[in-house]
Amino acid sequence: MTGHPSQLSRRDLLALGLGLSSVAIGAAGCQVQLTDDRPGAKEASGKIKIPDPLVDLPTEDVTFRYVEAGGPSLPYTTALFKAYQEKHPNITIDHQHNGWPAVNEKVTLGIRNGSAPDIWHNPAKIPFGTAVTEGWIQPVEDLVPNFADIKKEYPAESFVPGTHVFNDKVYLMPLASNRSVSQYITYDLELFEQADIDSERDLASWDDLRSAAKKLTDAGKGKSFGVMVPGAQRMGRALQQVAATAGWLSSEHLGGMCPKNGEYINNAPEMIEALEFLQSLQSDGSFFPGTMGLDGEAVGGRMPSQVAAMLLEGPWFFDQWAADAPDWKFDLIRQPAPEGATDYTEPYYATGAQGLVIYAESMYPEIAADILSYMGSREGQTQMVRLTNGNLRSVIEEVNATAQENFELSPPVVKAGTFADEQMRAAPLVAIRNPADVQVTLEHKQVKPNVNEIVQGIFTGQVKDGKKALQEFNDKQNRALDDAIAAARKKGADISRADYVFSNWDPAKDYTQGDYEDL
Amino acid sequence: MTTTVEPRVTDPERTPSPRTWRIRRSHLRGAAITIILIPLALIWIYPFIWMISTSVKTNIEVFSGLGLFPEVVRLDNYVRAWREADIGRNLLNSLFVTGFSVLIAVIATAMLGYVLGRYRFPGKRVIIGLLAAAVFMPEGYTIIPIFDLISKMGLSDSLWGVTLAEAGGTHVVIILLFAGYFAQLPNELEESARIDGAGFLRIFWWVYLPLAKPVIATGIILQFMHSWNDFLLPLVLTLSRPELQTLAVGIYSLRGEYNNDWVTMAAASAIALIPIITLFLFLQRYFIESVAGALKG
Repeated sequence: MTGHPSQLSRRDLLALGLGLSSVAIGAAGCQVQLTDDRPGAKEASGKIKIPDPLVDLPTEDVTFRYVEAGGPSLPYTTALFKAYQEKHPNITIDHQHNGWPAVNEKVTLGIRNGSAPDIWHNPAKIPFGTAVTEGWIQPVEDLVPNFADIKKEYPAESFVPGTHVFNDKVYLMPLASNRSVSQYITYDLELFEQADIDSERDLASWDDLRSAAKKLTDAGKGKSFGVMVPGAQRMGRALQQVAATAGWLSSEHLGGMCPKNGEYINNAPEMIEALEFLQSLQSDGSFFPGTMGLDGEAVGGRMPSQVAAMLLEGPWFFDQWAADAPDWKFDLIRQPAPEGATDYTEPYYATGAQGLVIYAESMYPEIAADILSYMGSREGQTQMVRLTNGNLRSVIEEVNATAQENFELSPPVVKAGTFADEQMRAAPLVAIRNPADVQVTLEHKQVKPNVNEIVQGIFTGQVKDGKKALQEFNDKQNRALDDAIAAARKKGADISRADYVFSNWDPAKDYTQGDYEDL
Repeated sequence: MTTTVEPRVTDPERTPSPRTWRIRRSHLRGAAITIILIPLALIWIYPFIWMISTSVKTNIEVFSGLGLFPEVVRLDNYVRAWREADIGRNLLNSLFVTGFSVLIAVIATAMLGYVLGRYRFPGKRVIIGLLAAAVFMPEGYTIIPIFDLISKMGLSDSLWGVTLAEAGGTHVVIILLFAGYFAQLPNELEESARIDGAGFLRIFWWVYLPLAKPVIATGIILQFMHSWNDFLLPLVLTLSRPELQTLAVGIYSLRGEYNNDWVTMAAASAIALIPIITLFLFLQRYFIESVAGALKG
């Protein structure tokens, strides 16, 4: 490379590259920005005041490890740990929040060599029963000093055998409520206006939605499309959510279980109708191309770029949009029912979200107890609602109201909250009726491929007969539950399929303690 | 019968000489190859260009089209990357892990290559076969055994654990490069050294190893690239100690559950590339020499 007059030296090449880049930037008329002026770049203004501890905390310098997925809880936990470290300067909180896969890795590998985090938000991939029986976690209620008060404040569904309780001890404490709608329509106001679509007028039924999606796609002229769905992540769940609008007696929360007859009903006519409806959107060309290969974060990131007019997803991106695209205008609307009725409901197990557990070999269980003591208190729950802008709702319903006194939550979050109130109804839990369900949970093997994979396969053409695939999946689900019950019975559990049948269940109402007593 | 061949009369003004023809043909061939290779090179480096472009955009611009130049070049992404990914600390960790793993791996592979290239012994073919077979072992399969091994050695809480794990492995390509290189060196060197009283290690260290500079450079580059870019192993080994994270793992830690800061990740990735590109620029002469030598056999 060196020495020959007609060849470029390394130095020349580097200079040329840098020079060309500078010229290109200059020619493109780019300005250069050096300071971070994003709205989200400012630190969350927290009002957290950590109370004096009710337990003896370490006095030496210690590091306490807290692992969560992040997402909606992050503004709260970040502010909480900042305040906590200010109150206790000798305690450093190593707070990690890199998504559920990272939580899985950190916990499972940490358990192998005794370096698991002190507190973690338990992911779905680590079954609660396994964590208890393997001795990975310890009872929360033995540690948290004011746990009796927390237990009184929290609703009964927050401490359910098999989900939170094992051998009469609470091992898992939900941080927040899971009463939230996981799928509605987020729509782009500008694209709607350009296509002359009015959300109230033109999205009243499935047919309306289909026409609007087609009209929006046509108006987009290849630059924007009608609908985007995180097809790679939750296509089956998206289908179940659409089926719920048709009066399906189950939901994605219930995994297709119908409390009325104690059977899985993923093959129900409402599911097939919903499938045909979504397929009609696909055949119209209304789906954003490649939407079946996108996960939640990919669709969330693309929406402000106006590549799709409607997004079928939940309330996960408001903070990101506010930070990255403050000028982008959007609104939300509930999914329409097939014929336009809006009084449909969706059953869910009100067992809470973001379940907190304490590592059995935590070196600082007293710090864990102190943190959970605050998180479970009314004050902690109020600050959680406020700092997450309402993205996390408290399991204590009154707190959700009081948190808004003299405090304005983000309007889209408030709207999503009203959707939840209109739509979500607490479903009966087998474990409350018969605690022996814990044994069934331990024996229950999940059917693979799951509903998301099957439905994604239907939309990508890998599964040719969707109706047949759903029927087979449903049969396998029912068989898997029968097998789990049989295995539990063999080990002495007194439970049968009859315990899954709640004849007095009304899908339009929350299932209450009184309903259990009336059985 | 005699034939006379009349010399061809050429006009030196109009007809180029054979040498000129050769030069012209060579230039034409060079131009044609360049025309073909430039688009291929652009396709090849497009991901790199895209990453650099992404590193100066906003998160929304990342998804808003294929344009490489944003209206505002957001160099603040680099400032944020440096701060949020804790690049300063992670850079030092990466340098430690990479530096020592290069040192260990290159010395170990040179010794292995020396023995395999210059000596005959029973089972040599089996060893080479096993080394070659190890190439096909997916990295994921070995993670848990390595994790357990490092934990049992009591090194799971230190950078030495990550360094040893990175230096481990079979490094088949480097070993075979060393073996091939040492095999082609003349025996007389060894014989002369023996006459001068040098032993096995001295011959290796003072006579043969200095001659293997191109392979050493290649080994440094390959091992540097491996250790610097490796993700899964340092991720697993530093899960409980984020202060030991290497750059690749630090960049991953910018991920969130629903909200990813793509531009900051791209900026951090661009910063992480600087050392490896610099190293390559310094050692590329040796690297090319070594690979060319290996191809020639």
